[in-house]
Amino acid sequence: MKRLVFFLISIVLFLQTSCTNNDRGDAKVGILFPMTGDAGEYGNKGRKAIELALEQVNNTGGVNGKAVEIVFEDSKADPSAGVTAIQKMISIDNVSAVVGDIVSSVSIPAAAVAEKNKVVMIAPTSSAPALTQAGKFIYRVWPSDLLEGSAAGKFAKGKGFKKAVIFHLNNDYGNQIADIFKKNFESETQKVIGNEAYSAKSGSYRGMLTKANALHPDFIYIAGYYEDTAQILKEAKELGVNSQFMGATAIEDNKFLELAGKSAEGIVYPLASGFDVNSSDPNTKQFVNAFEKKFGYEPGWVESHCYDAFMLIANAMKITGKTDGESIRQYLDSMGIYNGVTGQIKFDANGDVTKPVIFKTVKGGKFVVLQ
Amino acid sequence: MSQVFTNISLSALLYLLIASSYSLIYYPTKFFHIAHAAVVTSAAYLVYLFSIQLSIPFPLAIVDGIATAALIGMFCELLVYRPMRKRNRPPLAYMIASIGLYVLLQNTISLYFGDDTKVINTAEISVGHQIFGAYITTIQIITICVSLVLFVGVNLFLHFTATGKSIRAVSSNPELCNIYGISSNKVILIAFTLGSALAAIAGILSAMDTNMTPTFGFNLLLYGVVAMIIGGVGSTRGLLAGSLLVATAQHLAAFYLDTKWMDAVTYVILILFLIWKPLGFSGKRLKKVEV
Repeated sequence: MKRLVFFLISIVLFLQTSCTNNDRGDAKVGILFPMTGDAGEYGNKGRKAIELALEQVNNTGGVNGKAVEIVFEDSKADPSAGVTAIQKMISIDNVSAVVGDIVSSVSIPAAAVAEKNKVVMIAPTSSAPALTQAGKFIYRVWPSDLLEGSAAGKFAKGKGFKKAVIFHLNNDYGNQIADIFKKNFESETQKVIGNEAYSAKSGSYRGMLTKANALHPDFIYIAGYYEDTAQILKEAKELGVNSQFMGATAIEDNKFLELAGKSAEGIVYPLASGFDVNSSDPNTKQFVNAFEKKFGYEPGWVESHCYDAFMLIANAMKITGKTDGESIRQYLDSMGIYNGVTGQIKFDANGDVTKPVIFKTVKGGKFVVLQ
Repeated sequence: MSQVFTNISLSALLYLLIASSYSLIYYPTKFFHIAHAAVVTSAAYLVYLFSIQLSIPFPLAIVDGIATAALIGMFCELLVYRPMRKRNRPPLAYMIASIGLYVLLQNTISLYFGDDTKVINTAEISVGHQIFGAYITTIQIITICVSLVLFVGVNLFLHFTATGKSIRAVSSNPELCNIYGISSNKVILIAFTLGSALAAIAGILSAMDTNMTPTFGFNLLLYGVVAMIIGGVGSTRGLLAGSLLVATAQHLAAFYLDTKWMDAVTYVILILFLIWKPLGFSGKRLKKVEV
């Protein structure tokens, strides 16, 4: 008997998949977040932001006078679960667009599904460079790791440094960031004269530094994490290296200052502008107040980026009055600058957000904005 | 180039110290005591515990660290290897047991201290002393001197003291030693204690120079073991030559090729030696006393 019931349920479910209505007239947005598992905490934070955004959109008339609907799916921060979930949202729920995922490991395979079905997907917080080439329908409001590489290259070029050396981690992140730095820095008179890949667990970088110092560079760019960057700076100081150093955003950590001590003084690093809970921007203020009123705590980087991702889609549907993937994509590509709660948002040709980058340095044992 | 030469000397002497400490244990026992790496690491973390967390004066903390690490080495022998020897376990079993011991000790360190980088040398980071155009810090000079002195000391000890001679005797033939009234168990215990103490000194010196994480001892030990193998087991000059060769190859690879080849070059040399000169530089087998 049990088996028969199970069988019948399967049949019904199967039939349902084949006879859903295919018109995308309703404004439905799919939300793909990890609600359980390792990243479950992030998913639950993001969900609150989406609920707030939905309430605000529907209170101001929704899309074409109809309320926007949302469909939540749990990706469990697991790529295969994420792919199944986004397939379900697109083919069964007929969503017009997807916000997700929070983690890059799910966003990348999910993006392939969205791209194939011509459904716009905006990843709120994924930073993996691989997402850049994911397709025309894939966007993100969190900058790619590579943004800092190109910003660093432009900075060194603008300051007129002639001979640069790159130290980078021997992994995907390090190799790509080194390439992009080189691309943005080199010109007729400005060259990258040394490019060293290192492993994060080397312990000592004296060999690498000795080699670099023999080339007499005036600029050394370290694309690494804070622990290895600190060790390189310490040994550089001991070896009497006096080039200008530049690090990655990842060094903004108090442990870095503790490990590198005095040798950290003067290192410059880029920081892409993001969410600032104390911002004086009226948009941000309004979001922070509304969020605090509804949920009783201050929103952070997950909440704010999820909010912006959803609002961008809602905005696109509101303004164009259309809910198909192609129209939303065209709007996002041509909208210019959008004032989000995480700062100014503008998409480049690859659907990556371009954000203003500021430079910071270490002075007197503190991270300060570079003057 | 003088800087490269300095870097080579520093690495070579540190590897030499590790290789000496390791061979002291390897000669009489003839198995790979992997947990030696954990002794190297734990010595540095013990100094961190004593001097930074318990605020014991630094010199005293170093002495305590070395003593405690030597005790850890002794316990490895007393609690694990000796009972195994008594039951006549096959040689492979010792190595597996020692991997187990290594994992246990290393995880204990990770759990207690955390996996992030720890600093025991709290002196302010400053530009090194300039000698012949090369920069060298005080702690690096100390490392070079201490390693040299200990290396010479160990060799004098092995050749000119009764205990040292009995370690060599047990290395040749433990059973014959037992017949002649030298307790091989006692000699092996002494070798473990001294070897662990030397390893502790190497670990502390290395951590004072380049800070530490719970796995730093393992890399250090690997280089030391490679130096010992290519130098030829049981040869003093071989150890020196092996350490020099490993350090030179690493630093020249870093200088002329790329930093990422440092490790690869080390193992290429090891493989070449294993194929063409499996007995190392010295090229001689350990002498066996014929009865």
